[in-house]
Amino acid sequence: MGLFTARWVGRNPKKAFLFLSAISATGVFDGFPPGEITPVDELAAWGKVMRCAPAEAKEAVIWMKYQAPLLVRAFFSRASRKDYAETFFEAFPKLRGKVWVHHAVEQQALDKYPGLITEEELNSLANLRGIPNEINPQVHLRRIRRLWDNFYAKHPNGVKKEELLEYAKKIDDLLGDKFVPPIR
Amino acid sequence: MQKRSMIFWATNSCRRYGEFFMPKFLLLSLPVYGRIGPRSVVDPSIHPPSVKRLHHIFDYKPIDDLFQCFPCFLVSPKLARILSRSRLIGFALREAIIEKSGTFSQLNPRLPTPEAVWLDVSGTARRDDFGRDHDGNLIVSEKALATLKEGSIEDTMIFDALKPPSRDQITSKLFEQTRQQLDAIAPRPRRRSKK
Repeated sequence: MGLFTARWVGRNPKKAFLFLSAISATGVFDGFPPGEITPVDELAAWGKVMRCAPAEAKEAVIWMKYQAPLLVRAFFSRASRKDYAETFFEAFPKLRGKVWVHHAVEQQALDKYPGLITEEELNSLANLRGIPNEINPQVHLRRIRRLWDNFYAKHPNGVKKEELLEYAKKIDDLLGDKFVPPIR
Repeated sequence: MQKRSMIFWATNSCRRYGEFFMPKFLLLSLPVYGRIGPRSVVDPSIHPPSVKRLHHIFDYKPIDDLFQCFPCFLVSPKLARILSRSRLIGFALREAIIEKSGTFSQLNPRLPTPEAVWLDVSGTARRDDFGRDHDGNLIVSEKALATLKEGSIEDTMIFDALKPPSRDQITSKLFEQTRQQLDAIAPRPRRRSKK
């Protein structure tokens, strides 16, 4: 029986969907490769489909489009809603109630550097990290806040978006192994 | 040759005695528990920015009695009382608008809003007991540090203000310290039991 024929797809819908999702995550269909800003919806053309997709397919796409690029750099995608925790838990449903959702580039950056980044970028999945509840998020968050305060003190009058992301990457390098899902 | 070495000896000794008699100043890098709120009145045209009114929003429960939220410094009511009784100069204790954020309420659902007093530093760095350097760091005299130690300042990093570290050096020190602290509190990976 040949692979990828209509008959094969009919018999193996789950495998076919998984394969198609993995291909879509490379940006072949929507033209937005991993790590690039996707238009409006977090998962571009596949966004609506992915919301009712099986968990494995969703995980495969999210890993390829977000987690893998985050291994080497920090970046923004574009959120479709303000409720960032919901964006994160939609992508990682198994983590609901187990992690504290945290912004890699802090929400404060919106007020500190007006016009530099948009709310859609700030609340996007690529800018969200999960801190496990059992390792005391308070301690982590306090430390991260202190590191960012030092950054604001160094750049009181303005900064480039790349500098913000570079600093977020530094913090990812420091704590990425403690985040869930881990990005280091 | 002998004359030269005499001059060298004299200059060196003077420097050493000068250092001995010169009051020591320290640069403090403080913990952060929140952020500046929208009701603050800040003039960002000068560096460090001057603040006319402070609105501080707590995101995390304060641990130390002295903390900062660039470009401001805050103290707990306990430390404020100690400072107001002291004869130290270069600061004023002012009221600030204090609030807690949604993050604070989520992390500490039963905790009321923490109290804090704005430590408005107006002194000249390395002359008065409290001052700020050109980067906005807090510079205190030894006497002031001794008073501050009557409260809790465990999470404060202390540097010699006569050889002040650059902002980048403070940042890398912070990164290093953070890594050490988080490694210390991180749970050990669970061992798989052998079947």
